[in-house]
Amino acid sequence: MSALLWLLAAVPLTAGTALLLTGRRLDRPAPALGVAAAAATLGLAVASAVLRPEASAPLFAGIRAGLRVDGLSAVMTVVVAAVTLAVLVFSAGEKDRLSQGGRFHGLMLLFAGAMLITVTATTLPLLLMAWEVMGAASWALIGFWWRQPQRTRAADTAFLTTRTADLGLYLAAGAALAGGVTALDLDALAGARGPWVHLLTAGVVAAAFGKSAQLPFSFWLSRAMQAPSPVSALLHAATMAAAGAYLLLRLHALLEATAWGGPLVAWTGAATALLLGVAAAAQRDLKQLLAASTCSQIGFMVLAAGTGGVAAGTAQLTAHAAVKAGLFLAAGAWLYALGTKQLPALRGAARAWQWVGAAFTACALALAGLPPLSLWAAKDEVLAAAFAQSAALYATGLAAAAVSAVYSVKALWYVLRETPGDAWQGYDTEESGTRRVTPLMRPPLLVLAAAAVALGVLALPGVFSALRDAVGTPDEPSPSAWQLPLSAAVALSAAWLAWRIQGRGPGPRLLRPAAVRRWAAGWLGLEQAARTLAVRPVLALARATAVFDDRVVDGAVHRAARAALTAAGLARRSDDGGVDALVRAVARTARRLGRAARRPQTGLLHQYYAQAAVGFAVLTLLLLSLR
Amino acid sequence: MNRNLTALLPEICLVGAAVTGLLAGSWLPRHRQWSVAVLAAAAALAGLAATAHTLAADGEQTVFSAAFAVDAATGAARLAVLITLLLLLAVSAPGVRGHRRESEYWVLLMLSAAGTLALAGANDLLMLFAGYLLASVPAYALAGFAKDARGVEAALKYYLLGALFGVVMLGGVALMYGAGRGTGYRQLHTALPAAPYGVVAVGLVAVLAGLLFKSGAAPAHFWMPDVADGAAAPVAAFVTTLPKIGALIAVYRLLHQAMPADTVDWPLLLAVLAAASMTLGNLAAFFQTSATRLLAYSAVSQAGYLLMAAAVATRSELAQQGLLFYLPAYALTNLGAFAVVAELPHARRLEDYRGLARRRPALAAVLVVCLLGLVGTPPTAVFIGKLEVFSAAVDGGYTWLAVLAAVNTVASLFYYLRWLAPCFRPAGDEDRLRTVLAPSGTWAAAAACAAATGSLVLGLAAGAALPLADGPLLR
Amino acid sequence: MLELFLLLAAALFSVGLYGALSQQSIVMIMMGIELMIAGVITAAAALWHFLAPAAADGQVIVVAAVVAMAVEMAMGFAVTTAVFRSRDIDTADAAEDLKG
Repeated sequence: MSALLWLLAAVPLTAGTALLLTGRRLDRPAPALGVAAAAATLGLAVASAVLRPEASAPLFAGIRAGLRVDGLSAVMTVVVAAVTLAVLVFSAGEKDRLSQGGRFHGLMLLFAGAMLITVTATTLPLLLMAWEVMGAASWALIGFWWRQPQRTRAADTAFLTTRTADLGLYLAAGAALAGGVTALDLDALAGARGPWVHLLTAGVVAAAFGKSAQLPFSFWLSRAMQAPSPVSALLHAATMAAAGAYLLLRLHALLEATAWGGPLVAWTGAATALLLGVAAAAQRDLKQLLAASTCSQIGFMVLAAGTGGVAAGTAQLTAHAAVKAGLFLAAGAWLYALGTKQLPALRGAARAWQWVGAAFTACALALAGLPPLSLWAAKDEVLAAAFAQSAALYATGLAAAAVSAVYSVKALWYVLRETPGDAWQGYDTEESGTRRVTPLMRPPLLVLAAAAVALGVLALPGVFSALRDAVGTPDEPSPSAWQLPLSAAVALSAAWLAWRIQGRGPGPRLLRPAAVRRWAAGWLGLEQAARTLAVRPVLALARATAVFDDRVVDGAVHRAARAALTAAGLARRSDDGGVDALVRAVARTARRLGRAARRPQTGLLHQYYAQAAVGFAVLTLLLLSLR
Repeated sequence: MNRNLTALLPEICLVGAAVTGLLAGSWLPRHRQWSVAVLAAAAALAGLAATAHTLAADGEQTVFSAAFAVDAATGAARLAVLITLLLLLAVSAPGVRGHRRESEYWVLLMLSAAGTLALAGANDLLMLFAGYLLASVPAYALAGFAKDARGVEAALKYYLLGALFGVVMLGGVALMYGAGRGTGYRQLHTALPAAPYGVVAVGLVAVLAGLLFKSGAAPAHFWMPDVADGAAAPVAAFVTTLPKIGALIAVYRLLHQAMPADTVDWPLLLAVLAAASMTLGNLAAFFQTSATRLLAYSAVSQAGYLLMAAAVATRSELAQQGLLFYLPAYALTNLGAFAVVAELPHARRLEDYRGLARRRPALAAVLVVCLLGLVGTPPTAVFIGKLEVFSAAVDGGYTWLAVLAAVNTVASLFYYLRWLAPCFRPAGDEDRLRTVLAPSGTWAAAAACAAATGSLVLGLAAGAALPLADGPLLR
Repeated sequence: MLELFLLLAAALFSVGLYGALSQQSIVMIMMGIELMIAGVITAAAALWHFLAPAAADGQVIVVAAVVAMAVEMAMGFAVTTAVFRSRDIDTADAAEDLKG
């Protein structure tokens, strides 16, 4: 049984690694291989969702690597595997644009494997490792077309932001070890001793916010839109962005262990949902709008986690995955066809390609929260849990729901127009469009749209209570009788209002004054804030330490070297001037004495006589004087 | 009174052979006069045998009312002189063969050697003077044997200086006789403490003057460079080696036996003499260009080192052993160097020796051994000798003298190497080599090799040889 | 009395020494040396007679001195003749080839 779980993790990981390592050689069969691997993974996921296996292996001293499929994990694995398959089928259709198929499919499968491990992990170290692999795969996929420098810069920004936030998870691991949770089981984290539990909670919350692009980290998701559309669909809508929310849902017990954990998470989620929804409404680029909308919808999931609504959050996650994946794939199809993703240029796109348009319409209506579609049901369950905590939360959530209707209708309005005569002027601004949609692109869109609609059954109390039992929180509040119609009314009215205002032409805007609109369109200035508050001080510190190293540390080394050279010079001078001069002086004296010593031998005998006589006389005197 | 003539066998052999040779030489045809050399060699060998017998059979005695002592010093002197004589016979052979007065050369050599032996064994002032005369006068004749301008000039200077110092020595003998009421060392030893100080002092200096002349020490050394330069190489070898042996042993004996301690401060006098000799000899040798002159100055400095032993004659036990070992060692080594010079009669200056190593490697090796041996490089014999003498000087309280001697030894390396360096340089043209480095025969080369080998063997066998020099001196 | 003889001996010796040191001719130098020997003879004889007449040492000194004188004379004239024949000089200082 555990073998099933290991296989579930191993199949996408090994297939992805193999495709990556073979380089360009498998570029042609790569899409087919990728789809096959994804299909196998989906099969394994369904099987494990049914069979609920468990597996464990030793990892570090006293800490094990454990995988388990419980209710929450079962839903997550099936969602991940299904969306992966859909996206890879779509990518097979776009394979002429995605030239290096081996690298693309390898990275996508690698990512899928890591995500599967993340949602089934039972211990923190294993979760952390898979978390990091997801971040790395995301960076590689955002910068997939690395020859264009703006894409690599975007990848770096996204990676650095999420990585910085991930430090919180390391901090949490350390706090957990200090707090007495030596096995680092996720279920046991709530039992850490205080004050470590506060540190633990703070770390987990920071990591989750970073990965899920909640306030204040939301700007990275905007930059991540430089990725190819399938990547946006899988990573930044359905799975990775939702991983943070999943983590908070899994650790909802930890959030309840501290007094501030739940409320912080809930209010942050609510604020993100509202503010990023406003930002979405101000966007003119379809993918940017969808990205902001992703932040906003994940805000709902986070709100659910903060208020203890685990089943609600799971439902929101599932529904959002289907909806957003479908929307991104449709945007990707129009980008492939028309070469643009600006909303004004996409006028009439739905009518030109009708299957895509139909799928887009269905998903957009679901995103708006119109009954009886999936997100309406899921959102209501989240709001029910929020209402159980505080009415203010409920009101904020409701406002956010209204805003989501506004921006969904805005996007829909554009694509449902008739194609204007001068539409061709807006085409091919970002890449050259092929004016067609390949056959492989349609089935995934239709399946996802169908799921987006069908998951509306979650509104049924029976289904929801089954879900609650599955995830292990049977006491979760479910929406009361008046909440469902209220949210439906709010969504419908907001949608109709937006349609009318859009229809009045380009004059009236949804948002005034202009400064607010600019602030919202610029993603609330979050990236500039992050640059000013975080990036610039760090770079300044780095520059300062570099200067310190050059001047002080290197300077000390240089000074030591100079001192050694000076000492060597001194030694040489003293040797030359002192020792050598002494030796030379001795030699000079010896030479002089040697020449002088030959002079007595004059060759004249009487001088020999005289010198001998004098010598002996002196000796005699010497002897006589010694008396 | 002991009139045992057998105690004087070596000297009698030499004198007898000399007389016989002189007579025979008058009648022998010129081409047969080499037989006198053979006679001389036979006499030397007989003397060596007698000496060996005396040393082995404990034949120490004094003869003729203690005028002559046969003891350890005499034994060492006899060994050194007779072996040196044999080598000298070999070194001289190429030069003097066929000379019209060849037999007289051998006779003069034998007579001078006999005189040296008389000096070494003299236990009486008169015996001392007699030995001095016998050793000096034949040497004057030998110096001028070749009758060329330089040779006679050398003989002239040798004679005049020798005569002066001889007379001064005789005056000293008279004064010492007057002070001590007798000439025997025993008599002097007992009577001199009571004698007037001035008389003894002047008398001692006068006697020492003659002995210093014979050993070539400063300030009586002026003859040595000129004689070595002017006379032929074998004669130069002779005058720098043979008389020194007798003279230094005589100095030692005089000071040790005849001069009582505390009469005259002769140790300081000898120390000053030693310092002056070694320094002057070394310094003057620095820039010499003539090979024999360089060796003569080196002999002056060696006399200085040897006088160190005499300076501490009564103050150290090691002095006698050192002196008696150093003398034969020095004789062999010096003779080896002179033998190389004699073998190459056309190479007068140091530069003429360029290329010697290539052309005559054996001679170059002998030269290296002998010159470095004179410095005192182990394992040559002079190294042991110098070691003993330096130890004796330190032991006797003259550490400054030992230090000065060490400095001088180091400095002396300069001029020896100045000679050795050209030997190992590549030679110029082959013609120059053929003429300049033309050999003079095999005898001198054989003597050179024998001397160098002897020096090394004596150095290596020092442990066995040193105890021979340790016997007491007889008064 | 001894002092007088010794004085005489000293005078002879000094004059002889002065002569040996100051004369240029080889033969004159020899004369100086002979005078010195004469002084020694006088001193030795006087010392023998006045201090130790019993032993014969003093007499032997005199005999030895006379022998020395004879031998030195013979040698000296031989050297002088050889020098003259070889170099045609009769003063000691004229032979100055060997120096340094």
